[in-house]
Amino acid sequence: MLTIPQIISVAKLSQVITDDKLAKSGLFNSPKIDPSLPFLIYRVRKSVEWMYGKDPNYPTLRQVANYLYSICPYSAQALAIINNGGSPITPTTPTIIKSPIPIFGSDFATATAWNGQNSDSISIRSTYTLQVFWNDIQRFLQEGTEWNRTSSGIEIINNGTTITGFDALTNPDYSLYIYISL
Amino acid sequence: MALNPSFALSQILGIDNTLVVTDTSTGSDVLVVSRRVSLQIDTGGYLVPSGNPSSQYISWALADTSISLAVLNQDYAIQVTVDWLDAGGSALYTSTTLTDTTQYLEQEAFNLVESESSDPSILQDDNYLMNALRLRKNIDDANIAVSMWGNITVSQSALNRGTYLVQNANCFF
Repeated sequence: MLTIPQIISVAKLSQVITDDKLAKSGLFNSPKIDPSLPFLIYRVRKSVEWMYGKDPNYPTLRQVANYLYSICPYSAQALAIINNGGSPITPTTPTIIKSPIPIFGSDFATATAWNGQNSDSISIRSTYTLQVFWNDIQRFLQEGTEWNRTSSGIEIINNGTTITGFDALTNPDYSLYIYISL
Repeated sequence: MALNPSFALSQILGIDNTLVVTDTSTGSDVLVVSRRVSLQIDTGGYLVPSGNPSSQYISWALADTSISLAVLNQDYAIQVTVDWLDAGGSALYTSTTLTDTTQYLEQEAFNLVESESSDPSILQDDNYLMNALRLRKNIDDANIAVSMWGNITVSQSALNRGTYLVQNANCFF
């Protein structure tokens, strides 16, 4: 048997569901619902709430609460909502990723490997999609032939044709832009 | 240390004519030697117990944490003021709140629901259901008028309409 607070919760939901069904019943030719039913549920629920607040052990309160439960249609649906309801979520501040981010030769770990070091403190996750713009030659580099993705950044490929002699250790002023997408 | 004045109001189930005022103040002030309560209604008049020496104030001894005021012959919207007094009778601290008592009407509303639970066939009477809804609406209107709008007159009007229903229950229910 439901507790009186549970019955009150069911009644609140049942009233709302009944109101909704009532509003739609005329549109969709559904089974007719007594238009006074939400009001009846409301006034009985208010009386049960009042007496429960005054004296939870009032002799006839259980009888009246059971009556309230009996007049609540869609109580099964209401109970399902109550039992499966979640808890409030505290929204978190979204992380905004700056893109593109500038990097320099001095940010490289080796002559060709950049492991995510940047002055904007952006953490380069392995799930991010990157594009590399080499500012010194004013174009995007071709992934697969001129650079490869690593778990933490990129590796420049000295392919001997389009990229030759790339060495970030001796060229700390190299200027590149990393474009980041999720 | 100064007194931080406050009080709480309540009604006891089954004693509809009584309003209980409880002192919930914090701190203390040695200059405070007594208290007094005033209950002003929408007409500008005051509710006092029969035989009260004053037509406005009800004395409240400092030794008593709460005082029961048997002043309600029906439900009222009331501006309740409590003064903490010095030896000369001047108010050193004052606290005021606007409230409404609804126990008469709420008890009747519950009685109706109680009867319905034993015999729901009464709900087939449209007049009964409409008047029962009117009673509930009057209670809600009275509460909202004071809690949201601070309107003592509107609240009392709703309480009076509800009281009329209750006092003529044999006609309406």
